[in-house]
Amino acid sequence: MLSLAQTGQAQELFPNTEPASNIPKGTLGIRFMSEFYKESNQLRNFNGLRLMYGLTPKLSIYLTAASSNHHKEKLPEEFPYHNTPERGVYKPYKFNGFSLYAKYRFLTRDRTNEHLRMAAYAEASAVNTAHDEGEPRLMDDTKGLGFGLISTYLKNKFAVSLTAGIILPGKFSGVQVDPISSLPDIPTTVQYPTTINYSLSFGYLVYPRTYRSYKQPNINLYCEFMGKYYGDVRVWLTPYNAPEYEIRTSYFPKALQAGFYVDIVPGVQLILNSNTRIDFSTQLQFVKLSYARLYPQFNIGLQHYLYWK
Amino acid sequence: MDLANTRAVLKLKPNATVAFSQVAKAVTDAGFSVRFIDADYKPGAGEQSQTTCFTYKNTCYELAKGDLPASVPVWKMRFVDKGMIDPVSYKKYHNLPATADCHCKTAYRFVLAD
Repeated sequence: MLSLAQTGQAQELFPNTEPASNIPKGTLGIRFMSEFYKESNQLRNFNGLRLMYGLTPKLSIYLTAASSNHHKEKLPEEFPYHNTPERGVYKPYKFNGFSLYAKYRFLTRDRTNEHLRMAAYAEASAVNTAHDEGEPRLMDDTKGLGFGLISTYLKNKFAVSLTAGIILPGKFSGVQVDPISSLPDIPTTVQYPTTINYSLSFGYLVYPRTYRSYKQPNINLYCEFMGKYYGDVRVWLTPYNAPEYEIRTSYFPKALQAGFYVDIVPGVQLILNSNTRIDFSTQLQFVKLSYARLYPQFNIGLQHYLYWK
Repeated sequence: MDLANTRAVLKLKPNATVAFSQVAKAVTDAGFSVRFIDADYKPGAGEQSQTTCFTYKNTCYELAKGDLPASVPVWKMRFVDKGMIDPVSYKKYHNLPATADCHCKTAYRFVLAD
């Protein structure tokens, strides 16, 4: 007979941010994410389908396909002076692109019912859409690269995680409709700003009070604080028969100027059979606001792991 | 599995061969850490050529400290190789000099558990 003891984790599976822990080696995870909020007479919806794979015990990679009705094919008319962000108009639901994410756990301090873990992550996006706000999001809005660090501490039924990262968005080159209907569309280039993203997430296991079986459902409560600090957008226009020129930032509306915000996101999570995970959370304004959404935003997540022997 | 204390007990079939390093690897592959691996061994089931070492199913088990007791029915072993015990305990036993060599391709070091 042999006995072994291990450390374990559960309430660090935050609905909207990543913990420093990885998914098991050789395991394929599937996650479906959906966000929606009401915008005047429109219901804005984002959906992401993510495949996750544990390459090694310390390295996980994710591939996410994103689609939403957040963008039109062209930038708004009179961009960037007006209609930014463009609210209440019909935007078609369309596929926006793929993004890749890799996370490497480089610090593991495990004890009985307690651990401190740290990981570094990197992400890259091939998304290319007519994003009409300054704040970038690699999963859905802009192409680019991102890097950051995650620290997660767990003790008994409580977990806390801090993430800090940087987003380096690429440029979008597209067109906007000329207000004069007889003139052609105006080529427009947008450089989204370098952005710092940050989050502080708390989780608590409320059920079961005592673990007896892997089949017991888990209920976790979460409260996450998420935000970004971003610079000014840069915009170049090439009107009909005129050379390209850059627009002064002082003419921009607030959504395209430097800013920051912190959202508060309370949530609840149900885990079945220690595998299937169902998240529900609500994103609310806390410090200033994000122009990339209206509040409240509702977030849903469904996740399941597939194991092979 | 005792989930409250995160302890697992594996009951082996008679004469089964177990690769303890693979057990530890399975735990770390799953994203967890091994605190310890203990095993109960009946003296005499394998071959004992020295007072600090015995062989069982072509695997050597070397006692890191002291001598193997002669008159107990079961030896309670705790493995002290890297990845099979917590890092703090591993450092404590890692630098102990080798006490024996039973000449096996696969060898584990252990101490007698309290």
